[in-house]
Amino acid sequence: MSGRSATSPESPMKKIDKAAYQERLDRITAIFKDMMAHATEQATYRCPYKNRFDECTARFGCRNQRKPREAGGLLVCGGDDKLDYRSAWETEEAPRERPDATMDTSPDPAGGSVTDGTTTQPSVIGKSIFDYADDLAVQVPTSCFRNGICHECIVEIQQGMEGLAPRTKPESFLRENYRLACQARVIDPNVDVAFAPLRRTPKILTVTEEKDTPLDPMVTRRGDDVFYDGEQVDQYRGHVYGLAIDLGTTTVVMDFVDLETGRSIHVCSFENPQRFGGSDVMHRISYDSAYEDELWNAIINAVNHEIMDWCERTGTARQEIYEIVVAGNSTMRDLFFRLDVQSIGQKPYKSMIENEYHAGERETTALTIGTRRLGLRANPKARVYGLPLIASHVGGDVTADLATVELAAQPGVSMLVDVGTNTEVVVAGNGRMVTASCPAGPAFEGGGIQYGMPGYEGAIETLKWEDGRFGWSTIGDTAPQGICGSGLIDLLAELRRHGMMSPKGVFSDRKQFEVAVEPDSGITLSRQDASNLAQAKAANYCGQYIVLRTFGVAPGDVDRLFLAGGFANYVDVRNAIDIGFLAPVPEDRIVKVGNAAVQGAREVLLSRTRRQEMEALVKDIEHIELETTPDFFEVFVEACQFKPMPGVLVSGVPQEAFGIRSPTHFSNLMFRLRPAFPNTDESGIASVVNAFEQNPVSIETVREWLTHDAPGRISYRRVAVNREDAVVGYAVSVHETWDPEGLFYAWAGVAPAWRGRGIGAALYSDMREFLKHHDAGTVTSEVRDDCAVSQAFASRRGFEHDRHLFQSSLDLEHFDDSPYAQTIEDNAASGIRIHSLADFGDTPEARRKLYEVNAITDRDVPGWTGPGLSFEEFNEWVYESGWYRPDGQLLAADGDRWVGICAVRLYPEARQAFNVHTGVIRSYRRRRIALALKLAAIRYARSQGARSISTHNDSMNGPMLAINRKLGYVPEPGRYTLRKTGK
Amino acid sequence: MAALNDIANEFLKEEIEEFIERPNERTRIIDAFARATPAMQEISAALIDGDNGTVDTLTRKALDEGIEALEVLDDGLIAGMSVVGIKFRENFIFVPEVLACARAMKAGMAHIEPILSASGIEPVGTVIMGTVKGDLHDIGKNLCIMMLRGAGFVVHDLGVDTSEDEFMDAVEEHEAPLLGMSALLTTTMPNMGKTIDAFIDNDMREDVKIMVGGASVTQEFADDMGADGTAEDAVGCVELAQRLLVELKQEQEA
Repeated sequence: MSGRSATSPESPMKKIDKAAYQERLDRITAIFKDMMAHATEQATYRCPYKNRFDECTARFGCRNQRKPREAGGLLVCGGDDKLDYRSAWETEEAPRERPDATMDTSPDPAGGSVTDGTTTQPSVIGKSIFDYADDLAVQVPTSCFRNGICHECIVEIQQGMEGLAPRTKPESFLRENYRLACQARVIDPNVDVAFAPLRRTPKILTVTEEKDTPLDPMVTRRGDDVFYDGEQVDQYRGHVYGLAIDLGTTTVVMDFVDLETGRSIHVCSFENPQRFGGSDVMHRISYDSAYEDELWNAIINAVNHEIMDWCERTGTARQEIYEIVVAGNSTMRDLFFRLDVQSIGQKPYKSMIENEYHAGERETTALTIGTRRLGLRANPKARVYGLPLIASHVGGDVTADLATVELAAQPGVSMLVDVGTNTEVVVAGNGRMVTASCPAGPAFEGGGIQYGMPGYEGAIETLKWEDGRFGWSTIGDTAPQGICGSGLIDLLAELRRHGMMSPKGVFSDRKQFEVAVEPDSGITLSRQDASNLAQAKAANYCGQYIVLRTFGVAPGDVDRLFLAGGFANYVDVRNAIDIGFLAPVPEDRIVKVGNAAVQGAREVLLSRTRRQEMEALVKDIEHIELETTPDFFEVFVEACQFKPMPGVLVSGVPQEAFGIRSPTHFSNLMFRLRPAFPNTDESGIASVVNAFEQNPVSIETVREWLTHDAPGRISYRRVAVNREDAVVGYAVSVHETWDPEGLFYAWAGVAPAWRGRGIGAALYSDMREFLKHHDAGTVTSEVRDDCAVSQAFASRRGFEHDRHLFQSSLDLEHFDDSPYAQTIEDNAASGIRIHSLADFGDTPEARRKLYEVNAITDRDVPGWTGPGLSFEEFNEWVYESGWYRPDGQLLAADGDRWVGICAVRLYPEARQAFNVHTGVIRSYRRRRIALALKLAAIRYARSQGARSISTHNDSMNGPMLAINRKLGYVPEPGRYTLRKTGK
Repeated sequence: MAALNDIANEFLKEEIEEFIERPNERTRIIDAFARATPAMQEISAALIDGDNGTVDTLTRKALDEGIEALEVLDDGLIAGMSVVGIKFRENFIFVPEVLACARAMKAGMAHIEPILSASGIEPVGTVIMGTVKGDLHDIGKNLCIMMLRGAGFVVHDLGVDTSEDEFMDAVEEHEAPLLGMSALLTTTMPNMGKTIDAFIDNDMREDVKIMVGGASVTQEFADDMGADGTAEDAVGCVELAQRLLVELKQEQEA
């Protein structure tokens, strides 16, 4: 081990000359001095404890500290490089183990609380929602020990998202207010947080009538052997069970069936946990394109959870389940089978399976697959059977309904209405069947209605106006918490019946925005609720109206109407008819069949014959695409009114219907909002934007918007699309790193052909959620000064004119610069030279020098809101941009000092030039340098073949306006900048 | 003029390619590294990477093999630090990374110190540095230490949350003529005064010059608590330390 140390006697010790060493120290000091100067300057805006990965290296606590990106890593800095980072510093030591639930969780006495809606706990920093769920005895599923891996513990944060630490990496698939309970931790103990698990169990157990189905199941037992379709799959274990599932968009019902007796053993239901991907099938489809397998995972986990739960409670082995039959609409079923659902979301709304069927590639639209392939907990040899779909959105759930009610076997004309998030209608008679699917949305299941709720305990299920107030009853006879679908129908009917609400959903006192339903609990119905319910109801109405009319019968001709669906059994039929929710079929012919889908699934589970019948039946059902009906729009408008459907169904529409083009009433069926996707939406967005903009944006530019967010930018980009998924509206909101805190730019536009339908309003209100979430204090926007519609839209929403910006342009073909020769000479005489950056040499040093003069003069532009571009940003935006040319950067130099700048951008295809920025530093003003620069810009533009040169003008910049006028620039239509401060 | 490919070390090549943009600097740095032996390049690379363990091992190895200390300084440590300086200036790295590189440089310098003393070169002075009791802020103090070491001082860093006793023990142990105390918070600033009082109480005040610093420390405040001086920043800290040393010497000679 000798010679390992420099001080060991063996090592040759060469002496160092003192002066030579001092020279080295001086060099080090010189390097360090520069670094210290930079550190000091940088410390004015960036926290020095923040490393290059934006992680915190401080040993003390700081309010900007966020959970590490990975376990054991450094805390992440949530600061935004504003001047006040020090104010976030705390004096206590940094919580190195903040993500660990075992950390000190002493409650803050002054703080907020966390609640599941029934019980409340004080808010404690670092505590996860899962910890609260434990404390509050709320069941949240998990199978990864809360490590963010299984994605089962999704919760909806109903309030107080801002009090929780930002989403972690395992949560990146979640949007809006959905979080993983194990990841969401309290960071601000002063915020009240309310959460709800996704898989709540409705208290209405949709027990259905058990029909005696002749037993003929796929799975049979002979002695000690169990057979599936004749093939031996297992040794008898004591039971032969099967599982029937009604896979609804909102609610899932599972029925455990004994295949040997045909008896139902256990029925359970829960909310479809895919809710985090949107409340209707269209949203789920677009979600699935962005986050593959997340929805599939969620539903499989939920079903497995119920299976294991039941097995545990009854001591059953999961291997005793030999077949699972699934009835679901096309999207739900195919998501369950892990198939690509994208084609269902786009015209012509055909699933992959339906397309294969039509192409002759498969015999039937039914699906069969091994449970193991889907990761379902059952016998390893068990199969899953997906009931055949009928056409496009009309899926296996309707097939199951048809199995239950045996529509084909009914005498005369019969009709099935399965109400739900998607309502399906089938009319049958004389060997013919016609069907349609109506996207009603979840309003009658509580979605989007302030006090709406699914049929859980505490939901008001019936309502009646008596003695000047509402009498009501709740499910489970408990204190009312909200109103479920049947209650909402009663409420709307009673409001109409007693003259408290017009058919258009306006309350009798026109200034009134809500009616009190149950004053003690504060339950109300607002105008917005009424409007949402009107649209959902209209979808039901349209489906029934158009299918009946296509079939060629009137409501009175229907001999039997089967009303199916989760809350169908609780609906007051008369009320439903009065508000136009149901076709006016005589009440005594209406039969409530409850959850017919799960019953149908059970029948198919029990009978191979039924299975074959259904597979054959669906092939002959006619399907109508509601919105392709020529007068669909007119029918829909009429349908939005709270009044009964007429007894005679005519084509075209009564004149009076045209009176109610209230913009809020069309949205559900005409368009929907979704995130803007690259490669899909560019041309649509460009055409929306270009309908407003003087300088058209290219598809490439839009693609850049959608794919490249500048570092630190907070952005919102969503589109409104029509039923063809074509973009008809676009909204954007952006906060750049250099914007003052709380300042957001926002813009929304709707394609001209689609205006006046509430699309702009919907985009705006959606964007407001984003702005609210980010605490936007001031929102700026702009409108064309010649677009009265836009100005009115903005001013209705509280935007005020800030400045008038317009572009003016100069015709270069007729411009004569001879009168200005003197100006140029004057400048030369006073020692000011004007050259381009190309003349000076486009070196890195020169680029920085140009940046500096640009930055100084930029600051003097009126309305400047600083802190301005950093050199890096300038570099990226200017020097590295496609349009940058050193000869277009004109500079005024006084000796070595650059005192003015004028940047020109060329648009060669259009033979146009644009004067981006002109500025002269203060001490050189009033020497006509700006004029000389502008003249140089004009000459340059001309030499490059431009026929005109334009420039921005600002009503606030008087001197520059004067120069432009002098040169002969002609103002063009421009824009007002808008500003809105406060909520 | 050397080309990028004249440099053997891949890491260095990538660093230059990625971070050194100004042509004149690029030329200068490529030249410097191309001149350096692969062993020196490795030291530079480890320093730029902020890897103090590797700098430690490689420097010791190089000196053991008989490589001149000045060559290690020039081609290994200083060459590497000049790249760090540029990366910092261009905001590719930030203060925490810079401090890691400074720590790596210090690991290398530690092996040069014995050679210096064998050559009869005494350190400029020895300084005890620490953040006072109750305070956990150390960036400013760490930058000062970096500057002081760069200027040839031997610095013993007591870290954060340092008690009066810890300061006194360290001054005694290292016979340090200089003590630097830092405090960022107005609530912990009085602890600097208390520490100075403790030195007086223990009859140690005469032997040591005391500097105080921190964002809210003013000259007035420093005078008030009986410190010998304060500085605005790390550069000022070195000048102050040098001045105080001269004063101390004069006092002791007088």
